[in-house]
Amino acid sequence: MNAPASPATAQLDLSFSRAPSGETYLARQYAGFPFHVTRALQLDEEPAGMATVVLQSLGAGLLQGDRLAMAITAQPGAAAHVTTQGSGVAHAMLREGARQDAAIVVGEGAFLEYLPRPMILFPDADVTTSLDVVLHEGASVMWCDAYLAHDPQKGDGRFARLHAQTTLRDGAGALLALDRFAIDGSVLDEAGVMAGHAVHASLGFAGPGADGALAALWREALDEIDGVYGGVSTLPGEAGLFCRLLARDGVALRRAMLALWRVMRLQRFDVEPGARP
Amino acid sequence: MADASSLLLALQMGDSAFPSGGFGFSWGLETLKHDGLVHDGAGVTAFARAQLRWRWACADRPVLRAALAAKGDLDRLGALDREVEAMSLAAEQREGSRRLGRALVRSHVTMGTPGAAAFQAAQRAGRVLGHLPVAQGVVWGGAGLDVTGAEAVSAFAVAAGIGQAAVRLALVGPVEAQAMIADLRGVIATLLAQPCPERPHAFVPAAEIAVMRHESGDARLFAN
Repeated sequence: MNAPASPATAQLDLSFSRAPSGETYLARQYAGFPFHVTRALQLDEEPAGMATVVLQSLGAGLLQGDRLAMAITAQPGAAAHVTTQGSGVAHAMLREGARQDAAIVVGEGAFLEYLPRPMILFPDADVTTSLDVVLHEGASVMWCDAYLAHDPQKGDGRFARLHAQTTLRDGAGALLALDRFAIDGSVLDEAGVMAGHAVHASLGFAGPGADGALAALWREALDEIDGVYGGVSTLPGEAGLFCRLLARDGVALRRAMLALWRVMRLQRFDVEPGARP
Repeated sequence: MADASSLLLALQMGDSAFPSGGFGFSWGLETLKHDGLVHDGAGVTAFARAQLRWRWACADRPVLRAALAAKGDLDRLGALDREVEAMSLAAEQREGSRRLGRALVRSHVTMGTPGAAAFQAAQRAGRVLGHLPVAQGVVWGGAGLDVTGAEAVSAFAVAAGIGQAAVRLALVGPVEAQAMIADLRGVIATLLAQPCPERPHAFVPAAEIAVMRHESGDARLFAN
């Protein structure tokens, strides 16, 4: 795997802070090409003052040679929800691959949701991704990392390569969880790997409330959704919950992700997430 | 062909009667059957091929190699163990790997295998966790297996273990299981001829999901 881009050169750098009023605002905001971000929207009753930011792309998707880096920080006590406007597309890469790195830091007592839409892998896409999450004392984070293989020609073209790594560390830098895979499009044809599904996702939640009761509710929620095969377990050292998902298509995945997100919010705050545009 | 003493050593380490407790684990196969995703010999073979190619060859193999190369260095073994722990995202997989590693080391301590007692003491002191591929590297290296022998025995144990589980789950008969294992020998040989990745990684989502679902499911013949 080639080296990740330095955080100092990240094209996207967002830092959320909590104002004395309790409202979370964007204290630092830098979005270089291809990123663009909405203003901080207040859409949720709980957690109080939560800011929602939607990441937008001005580009055509991930192209060969791209080196994209994102740095997202929730300062102590802040509450933020970060998502994307839609799925990003990784195009065919015949000369060299592309790389996308996200570094997330959740400060003491902060609450961050990083829930981007899945990356769509076109035939011959060659992608390396990383998602590194640092969780400080009393903080909470929900994250997801999802991929969907799709041939726009409706043929059986397969992506060339996907190397992905997600890490969860505590504030002292100790590794709590590591999900790393290096695959090629042939996995789609292996019944023993994907069990006939085209979409793969992982989703985690760590921090207060990431316990057995929520795990049971997540399992119940998944059993209600057609076209999804999913499991929920406890991370090493009881650091949080982890959910692995296979889905028939993007629609089934979306239903599952929304259900898990809603159940977490209800369990943690007793309130539904606010309506999204 | 290896010399006779190496071959005999490999046969003993890979003997299904060796008290290592592996027979109690299905690594997700029981739940995949329960969930209707594996229902015959072809499904078992696909499951086994996936386990060998997308878990054993890219995760267990580099860990086993590194454990052999550590030659009893407990700091290196501890770091390896912590990485395996962090990568084991299904609780029953994580606990099963540690339990099998402990059982394997216990047997080798009794047998007097060099390095086994020191590793067990480090395990009891919490310095190492003793995940299965780490423990295999320690005790098989101590017993005198070389890298090729250890990798072959480790991979074969995966194939044979799946075959045994499939028979107990009535997915295949005993002879059909042996035919599958014969086929998988070719898969293993191909994998062993390929370069070993430096850093462990794995991708067996259907099996991993099944292990997670086993935690709360009705299928309880196996420990996972």
